[in-house]
Amino acid sequence: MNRQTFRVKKVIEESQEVKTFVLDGSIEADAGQFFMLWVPGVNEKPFCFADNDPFTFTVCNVGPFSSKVHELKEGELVTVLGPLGKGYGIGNEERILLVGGGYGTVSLYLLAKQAKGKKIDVIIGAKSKEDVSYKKRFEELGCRVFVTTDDGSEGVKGYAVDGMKELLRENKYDKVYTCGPMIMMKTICGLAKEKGIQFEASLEANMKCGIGICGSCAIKDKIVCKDGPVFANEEAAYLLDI
Amino acid sequence: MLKTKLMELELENPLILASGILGTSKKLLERIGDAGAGALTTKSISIEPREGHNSPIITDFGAGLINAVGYANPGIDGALEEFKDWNHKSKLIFSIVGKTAEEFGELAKRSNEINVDAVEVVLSCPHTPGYGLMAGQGTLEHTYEITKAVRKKTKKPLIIKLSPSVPGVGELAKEAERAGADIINMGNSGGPGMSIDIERRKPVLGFRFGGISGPGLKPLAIRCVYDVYEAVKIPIIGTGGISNYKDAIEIVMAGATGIGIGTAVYYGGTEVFGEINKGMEKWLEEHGCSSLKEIKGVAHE
Ligand SMILES: Cc1cc2nc3c(=O)[nH]c(=O)nc-3n(C[C@H](O)[C@H](O)[C@H](O)COP(=O)(O)O)c2cc1C
Ligand code: FES
Repeated sequence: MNRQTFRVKKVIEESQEVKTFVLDGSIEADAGQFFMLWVPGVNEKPFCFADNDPFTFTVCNVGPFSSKVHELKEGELVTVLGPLGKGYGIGNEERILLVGGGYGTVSLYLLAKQAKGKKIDVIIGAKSKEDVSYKKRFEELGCRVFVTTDDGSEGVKGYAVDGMKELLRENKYDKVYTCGPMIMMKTICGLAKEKGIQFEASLEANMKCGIGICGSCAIKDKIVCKDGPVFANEEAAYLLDI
Repeated sequence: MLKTKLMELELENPLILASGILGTSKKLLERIGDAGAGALTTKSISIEPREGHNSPIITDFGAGLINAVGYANPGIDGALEEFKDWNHKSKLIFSIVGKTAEEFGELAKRSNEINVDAVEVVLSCPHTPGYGLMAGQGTLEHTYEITKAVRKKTKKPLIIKLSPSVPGVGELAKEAERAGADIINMGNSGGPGMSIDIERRKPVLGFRFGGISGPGLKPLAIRCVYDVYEAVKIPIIGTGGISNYKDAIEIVMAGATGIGIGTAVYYGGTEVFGEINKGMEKWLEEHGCSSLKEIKGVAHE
């Protein structure tokens, strides 16, 4: 597989820390798949697709690499390797629940788009209200969106799993999809498993090559970049130590 | 039919996962053993942990890969912890890299603390400052000195891994044999080579250049195995661009006893081991052979 180069068409400032980059082309990708973003002379790191047509991704400024990405301006070049890995499984579920933690919410947006026709509830778990930038976009797709924040600055104060417990009181879901910090996914999948609901989680790992060769992303006997990053049910439970 | 003996190293089949391909965790190696590899080589281990080079560390150039991983590894302490208590039907080969003969000796000594089946000494990395070719380890003198230093510290089968990109591989292999090596791994990735992204007008790899592996390397590997077979009596692991059973048969005909498999995993996943084994068995049957021994080195006759 080879790298492809696009140009930045639009930069959207979601918040002080978060920018969305819309590129001048599209790419065939399943929700949950990822790509490696190359900044020549700096590094290459994995990101998830926020949208595939036009190719869109969202970057939170958390370190030296993402701050370099934040310097990208309209008209500049972006080179990517992808789509890589295995995305979310979309079957004949009728009602699904998407649970995103912080920046992990982004990959669930493309899922909501590709799972059109299903009844979709979304929980966005964030630190505070600055981090819930995708809420409106989900609503535009017709999803019901619930927000939990650690500090209570938006939605309900608490963790995503608290929101999920609430929703499970009155709603039945055929599957729960989650993407976010490992500890959050562990609680979400743990609850889904306990309630006998199917679940899928998109795991985080240290990806250096993205193509299943270097082994840097291994968790137990799984090659996260190739066998995953999305894992379902028993496999997800095994990898998350549930 | 595929049972293989490399000195004291007895394998269910001749396929050996090459160093640096998915060799970071014990559970992952066990999985590749289950998929049909007769032996598994760990990622090369140095004394201190190493972060390795910045990404891209690997790129596909159309006829194989170029890599400059830079020996990312957890260091000897971390590696001994990770790979201890090996207990699988496939054998474990512990790959080591040092900056000096003393470091190699020390690593070999430490490897005795756990249950490894063989030690592989890498003298041939083309893209890491201080190691392999970039440190001049591909010379006759260093090959002898390092092999000797490691031989003193381990009684396990000792594999010396050479570069296909230096002249006189036969002489180097002889030097390793003279210093006490049991097996020659011929060999490492070639080059170094470079890929330039034409849209970005820059080398793709973070380190700019790296080792060439995969199908594009195969003819070089076959010729090197052929040369080494003429030069030494000890067995050879033939590594470089072996992607399917025909390639495997070919490198055995050049003189290989074991067969290293690396980049093929990129094209075919971990399933390639099972497929190559099955293909070799079928080929042998169709050609009236009862074992690979019957065709080993036949290209020389
Ligand atoms: C990504 C990658 C990492 C590698 N890392 C190592 C290493 O740590 N030690 C080593 O001795 N060889 C390393 N090699 C070389 C392989 O073990 C093998 O000798 C070479 O790739 C040729 O075989 P192949 O064409 O089947 O891949 C690496 C190769 C690749 C592609
Ligand atoms: S990132 Fe290299 S194997 Fe997954």
